[in-house]
Amino acid sequence: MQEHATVIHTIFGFNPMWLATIIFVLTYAVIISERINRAIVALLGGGLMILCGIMTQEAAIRGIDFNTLGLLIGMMMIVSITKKSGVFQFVAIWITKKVRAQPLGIMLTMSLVTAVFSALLDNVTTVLLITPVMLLIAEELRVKPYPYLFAIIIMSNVGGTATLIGDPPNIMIGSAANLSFNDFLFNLAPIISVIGIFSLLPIWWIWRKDLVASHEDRARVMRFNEFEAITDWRLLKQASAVFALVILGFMLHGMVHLEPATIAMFGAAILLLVENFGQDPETQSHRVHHALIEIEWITLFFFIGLFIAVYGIEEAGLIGAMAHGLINATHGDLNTTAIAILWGSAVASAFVDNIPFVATMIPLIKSLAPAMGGEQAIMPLWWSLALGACLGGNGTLVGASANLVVAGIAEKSGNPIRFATFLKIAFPLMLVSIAIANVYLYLRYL
Amino acid sequence: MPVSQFKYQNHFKLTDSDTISLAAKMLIDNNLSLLPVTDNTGKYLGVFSMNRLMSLLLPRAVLLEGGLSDVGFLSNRMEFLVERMAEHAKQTLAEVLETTPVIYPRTPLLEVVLHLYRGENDIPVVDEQTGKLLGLLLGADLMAQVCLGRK
Repeated sequence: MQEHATVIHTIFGFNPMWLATIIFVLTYAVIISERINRAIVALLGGGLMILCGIMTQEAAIRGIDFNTLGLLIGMMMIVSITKKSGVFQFVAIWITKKVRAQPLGIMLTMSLVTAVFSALLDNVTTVLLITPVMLLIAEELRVKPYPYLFAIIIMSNVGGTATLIGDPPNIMIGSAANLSFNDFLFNLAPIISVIGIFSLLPIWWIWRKDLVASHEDRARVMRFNEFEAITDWRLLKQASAVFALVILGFMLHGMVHLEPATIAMFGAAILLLVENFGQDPETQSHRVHHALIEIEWITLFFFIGLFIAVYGIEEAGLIGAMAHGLINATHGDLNTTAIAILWGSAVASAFVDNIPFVATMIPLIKSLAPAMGGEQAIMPLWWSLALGACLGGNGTLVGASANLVVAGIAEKSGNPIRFATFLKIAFPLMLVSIAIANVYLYLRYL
Repeated sequence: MPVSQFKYQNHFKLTDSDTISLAAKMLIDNNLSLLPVTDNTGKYLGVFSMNRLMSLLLPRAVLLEGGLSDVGFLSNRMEFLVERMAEHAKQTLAEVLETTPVIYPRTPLLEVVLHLYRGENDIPVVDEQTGKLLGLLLGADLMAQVCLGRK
């Protein structure tokens, strides 16, 4: 497509690269301003790239990463069906009772549950499922919900970093760099466990005096019957089986030569089949409609627009120019580049949506490969990007969608989370987690 | 026919400094769906409804939009409900006021029927100029006159 950019020397009197840059920067700016729905902005940005002749429709379609979209859609469908069984509430209550409803125990176990769920589901879904249960438990224990909500936010972003499917940036990185579920698991999960512990320690230290509940209040929580939270045992068994198979499929996808999107979509189709088997056509239509309507279409169309817009600047030569600039700045040194990407991604992701940021960084890192010794040699850069972009979301209340979702639910429940209050503890905590990641990257890869 | 020509009730009212326990007793004793609440000068402020009373029994996590859809796992013993309600008994109505559609003396009765059809059982009648509460139109009273000819 460089060829295309060189064929058309000017568009409306602009150099194509400058025009693509203007469109891209405007798209980014409007996304950050949050004045217009991000899906609309991304689609307009992508559309303008085509309308202005920066690339053709065929090129735009080539720019869309259908593996990322398929994986997201498949997992969203599986989660939307599974959650109807009540299993997530069951786990949250069960684990609360296992620690005898001790506030500190709840803090630790809920953090663990959040991290594990976030690693296996997307972060937003996890916090949507966990936060109401946590608020309920805090209300019954008559303890301040803030420390728990804070821990949920932090641990959802930390847990989501551990796997290919845990956070959209990882899905995008995995798809673009051809990294498997196991690659993420073996390279990121170990350090994420350490970061998780180091994130929880200060949370415990800061709020330890608030983590106290009376015997009567704890007894009230202990009377919860977790088995009553399961609303559909049959669905629970079906969904658990399919979910386990999908995770197994992710682990083996390299061996069976299947892309993660195929596994997730096929898993979703199997779950729909078993859920609807033997039902009358009307019930089937209703259930399938429900499963499809629960897919976050805004996120998906945001991705589509973004992929096109980013492909536009790539086609126009901006990514190549940025890569050249980065190599000049770091003198082509892998260590410096990896550390710059880690810290740069973390700070950027604390303030702007990490999805557009990662979408821009992916072609940039790819284009560094020839100058840095090939695809295998730049592998640490992918881990830098994943760790920086995902953990960076913990820096501020607007750093990740999950943070905003928890803040929204907290606000509605009369327990608002303030930007500055959150920032005071979360930003240093994020810097510590990035420092740990830095040491890990240095010792293991650099 | 406007509301002014219909005989609505004017003795069901509370002020915002009254307690929830008093409001609950009045709602239950008179089989009302809501009670209009005024300030000390008689200016209409809002309502306290049976629905709001029931919401006090539920955890906030259930009442949230997108919150828990099921509470089967919570304790469902009567003592639990009584205890929860007792915690709110001394709260004043100022803390739990809600807004609801109101009608004016000039409002046509057919519009009142539309409100009732849409789910209101009882509707406050308010003076449009002064904002003072005039009374409470009971859906049952209106339907009793329409269907059974009782005045």
